[in-house]
Amino acid sequence: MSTAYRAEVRRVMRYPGTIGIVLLIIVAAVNAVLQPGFFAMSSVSSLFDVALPLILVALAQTLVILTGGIDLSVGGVLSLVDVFIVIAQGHLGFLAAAVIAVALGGLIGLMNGLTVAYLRVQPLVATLAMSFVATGVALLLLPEPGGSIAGSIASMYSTNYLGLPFPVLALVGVIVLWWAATVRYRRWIYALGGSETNALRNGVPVQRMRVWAYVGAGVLSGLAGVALTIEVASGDASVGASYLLPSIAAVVLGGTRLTGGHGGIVGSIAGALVLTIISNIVFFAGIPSYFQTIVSSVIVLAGIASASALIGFDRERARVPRRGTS
Amino acid sequence: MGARGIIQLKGIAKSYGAVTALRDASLTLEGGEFHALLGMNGSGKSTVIKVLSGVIRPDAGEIRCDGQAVAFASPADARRRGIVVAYQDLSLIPTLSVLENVVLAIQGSRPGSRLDLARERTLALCRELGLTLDLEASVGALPTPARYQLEIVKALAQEPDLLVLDESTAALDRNQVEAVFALLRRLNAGGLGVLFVSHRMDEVMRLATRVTVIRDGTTVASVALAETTRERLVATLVGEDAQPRPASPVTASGPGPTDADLAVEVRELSRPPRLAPATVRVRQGEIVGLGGLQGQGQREFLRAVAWLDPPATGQVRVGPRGIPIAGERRARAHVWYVSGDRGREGVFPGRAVWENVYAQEIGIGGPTRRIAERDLRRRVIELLRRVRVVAQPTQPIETLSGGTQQKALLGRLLTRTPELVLLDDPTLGVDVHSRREIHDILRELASAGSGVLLFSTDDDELLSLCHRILVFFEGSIIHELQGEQLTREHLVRATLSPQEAS
Repeated sequence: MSTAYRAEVRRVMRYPGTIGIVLLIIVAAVNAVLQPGFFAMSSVSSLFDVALPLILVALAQTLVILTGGIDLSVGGVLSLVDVFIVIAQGHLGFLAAAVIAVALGGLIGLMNGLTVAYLRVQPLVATLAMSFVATGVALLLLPEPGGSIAGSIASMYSTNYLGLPFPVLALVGVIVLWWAATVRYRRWIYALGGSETNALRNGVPVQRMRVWAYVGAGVLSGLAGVALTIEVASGDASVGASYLLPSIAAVVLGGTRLTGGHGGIVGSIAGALVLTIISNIVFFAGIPSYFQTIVSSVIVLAGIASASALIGFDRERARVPRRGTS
Repeated sequence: MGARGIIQLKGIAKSYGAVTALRDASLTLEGGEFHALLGMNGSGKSTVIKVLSGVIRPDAGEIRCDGQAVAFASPADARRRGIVVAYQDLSLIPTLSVLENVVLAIQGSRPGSRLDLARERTLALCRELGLTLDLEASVGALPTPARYQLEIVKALAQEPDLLVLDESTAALDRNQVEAVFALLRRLNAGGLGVLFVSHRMDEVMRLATRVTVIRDGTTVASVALAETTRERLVATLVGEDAQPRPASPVTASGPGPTDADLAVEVRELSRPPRLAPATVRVRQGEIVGLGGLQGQGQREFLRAVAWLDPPATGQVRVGPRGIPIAGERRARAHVWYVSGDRGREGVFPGRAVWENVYAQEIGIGGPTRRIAERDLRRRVIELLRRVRVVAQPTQPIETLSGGTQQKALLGRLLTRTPELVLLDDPTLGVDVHSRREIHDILRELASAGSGVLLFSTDDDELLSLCHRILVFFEGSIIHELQGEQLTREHLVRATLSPQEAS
């Protein structure tokens, strides 16, 4: 065992996404046993169909959590986007409706960011309130579930382009966008979450950065809402609510610290896929649908607990001095 | 690099609530100087640096760069003028790697990747300091001295015109300090301006070309080193030219009780690396002060005695019968620890005054017996009157000022006269009036028979309260002052001169 090899192992272990990727391999293996053709292109493709909204909303959550905040309004944004597109697409066409809906997500993010950064409201409270505002507006627009989107849009979602399913392409596109948008500011985001005081001392415009993180999260949630709308192909003001807990769970499963400053999107994507596959497993294990939510929530909780326990053994935390051996 | 101009602070004043940090501070830094800023604990040095680096904005006064008035709204502004600070409490992001921290600093307010530049400069500076750092390691995993070295490397990697070192060498050992100074001297010869805050007179005498002395928030001297002597500097620091301070009644620090029973016997208590084995005896009714520069092991000593940070070696025995304190439960039963950091270690915010005062009896968060509660509410009224706190027992504790909170909590001790009371800078951020009343409470506590160990960053507080003062330096007790020696001058000299016996 060379020291270089051991150093490499340590590096991999320290990489925040490792936990999520390992979990992903485990649940994929379990699913493959239960469902024979799991690795076929068609089932991978349908897995991404289902997973895309959650992945995008997990990316939104990651961005905010990395800065040391949290965004509880993602579910509300999803609902509002869904309802808005279903209502507006008849007048504006799908594309224009979707673009406006994403901008709407960004606007909600802007309000979140300004409230948190300049009015100094706790992110938990500010974004929870905003979540009710968004859901409320959605209910106002569409009190009863209904409406639909054009069949051509829905079929676009399940078509392959360049040999790849549309959702996979969309995800790649978003990741490239993410990279382009954050490459300059990446360090500021991590610095803000790692230590706000010291970020300021290093010349980081912390409040401005914070606002942008929430705006970015709003836009990403908006994109998630578009994906969700295409997938469900109808309007429902309560459709986003079930994405809030999983969005946070995916981030935690992906090894990103809830206190901020440590983690990344690779883990969150893996975490979102893990959650999607878990629902899949629950389904294929023949568990009645009423139990599905319960079972997957319990698994989520267990997953978060084990991820937290793993982080607890992280050397950085273990450095808290104990019993005079420092 | 920009022009190495003159930076001036003029008539700077700054208050935090009722506490005045700076009254009239001035500082003139010529380009390329090696300038030392001297001052005792609490004299306002750190505040001067915060003003200079844009962390805080002064209430009054002006900052001039090359004669032109400027305002530093943020550290980024100061940085644009070429001023970079190596902070006493560090400015590193623990979750980022060593290299990322340097990049973050170099990029300043213009983000963008400068990885190669950062790596190059970091490696070069590390080589100069004889330092081997894994650039990919997370800063949170670095040992403390390495973090301080990185703080200096990070500051220098920004290629400042003026480097401000706020006691940056305090955590380093001799060789490391020498390496830092060798590098600084070389860079200084190349035109880098250095402002350093240090308590080590040797360092100041060896390195500085100019010295500014600050006392009680006011600049009292600024001289070229060649025109002064060590003795004269110490005299200026102490303020021998000033009036004797009427605020310190000498009455309390008469001879301590010499024949009373022991309140505590601490034998060879240690907690490496910050605390070398320390042996201390405190008699009942005695107030013993822990003095010296900040961060020399006083707090570690107190926390080890209280078993908040368990000691590595040594024994603590409390009371005339010498009950051994080993373990947290024993410590909680016999030792009272009161912190000046009320926000974090003192009060339960949101809870009523009476609940805070009797936190231990009712066990906040646990079940409360109704009868006991009524009884305690009644007793607390009497107690608040005794320590002169004007407050409703039911009002939330955070609605009181810091000093009043502390009085209420200390008043609690009067009703039970604990064998040993440990005070960790109890009047931190407390206004003058409450401070005096807190001192009265502590004297009353001692005369009732408690042994008191008091750490304070306020030298006057130690001098006016204590029967003896133990002076700490780098984790060891180096002097013990009592009787005639309990003067400001003796204390300052003992603090600054680890090698001379008192």
